[in-house]
Amino acid sequence: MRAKLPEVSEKSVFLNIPYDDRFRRLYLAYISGLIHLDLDPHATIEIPGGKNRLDKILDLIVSCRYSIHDLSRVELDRNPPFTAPRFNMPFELGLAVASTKLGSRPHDWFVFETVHRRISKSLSDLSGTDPNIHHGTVEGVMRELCNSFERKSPGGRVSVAEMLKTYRAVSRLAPEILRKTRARSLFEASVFRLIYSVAQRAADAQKRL
Amino acid sequence: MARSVLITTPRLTWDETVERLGLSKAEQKFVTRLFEESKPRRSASYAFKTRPGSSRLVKSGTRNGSGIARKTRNRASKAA
Repeated sequence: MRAKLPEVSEKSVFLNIPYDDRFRRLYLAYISGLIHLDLDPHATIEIPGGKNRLDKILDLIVSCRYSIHDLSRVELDRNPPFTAPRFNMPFELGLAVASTKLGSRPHDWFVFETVHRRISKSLSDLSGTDPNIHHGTVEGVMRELCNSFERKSPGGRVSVAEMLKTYRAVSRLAPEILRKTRARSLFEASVFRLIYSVAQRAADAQKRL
Repeated sequence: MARSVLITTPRLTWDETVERLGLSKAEQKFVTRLFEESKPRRSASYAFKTRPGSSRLVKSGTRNGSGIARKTRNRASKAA
């Protein structure tokens, strides 16, 4: 039984994405794009391992005002020892939908996909909802983030071109972050923290221009 | 599923980011250094070199002119 609900941050976004090396460009794109929109991305990699992981994931979703669920890698994972579909992303989407429907707090969720109409086969329960299609590209992710989150900047709307500049700065510095943290992949908590802070600095530098 | 939402919340400041992420002093210093080092530096689009048989410095690419001017001159000298 969960005793107390965590506080909601109005700009926090729960990022439900696959953690695999083929997704690293889009992973950096999501973080850079959201930070450029002055939002606050959160991911399950921030959650330390151990007991009650499910409770912590649920707390994280409930504490976020928005969530993004990228279902572009809902496919068979052929890495040994088993070939199995990857259920984490749809499962966490289900948690977010349930928290919206059953909870008392406002929560807006978005589904991102690579391919048009695939979701009607992979998750037909979502029929009637239009996912954001990014075609598996960094530009596509930025465009769909802009379509989902509208923020008026002093000079008008935030543009994809500006967001791409932030992404390029983060992407260029990512190898240096990996060297510093001695991490094996970008999908580790210490790396996430530094990528986040680098993206924040890069976005600030963009906006000062 | 939401179609689009309007964001009106203020931006996170750097201090708030440090607090939100729990960045250590060393990590803050690392990020700052990373940005200092990655700043683009002014670089010339040309180099200086000496003409053959002379010690006079000229900008590279300008000895014989460039682009259309050079082509026109070469064509004229061939015709002559």
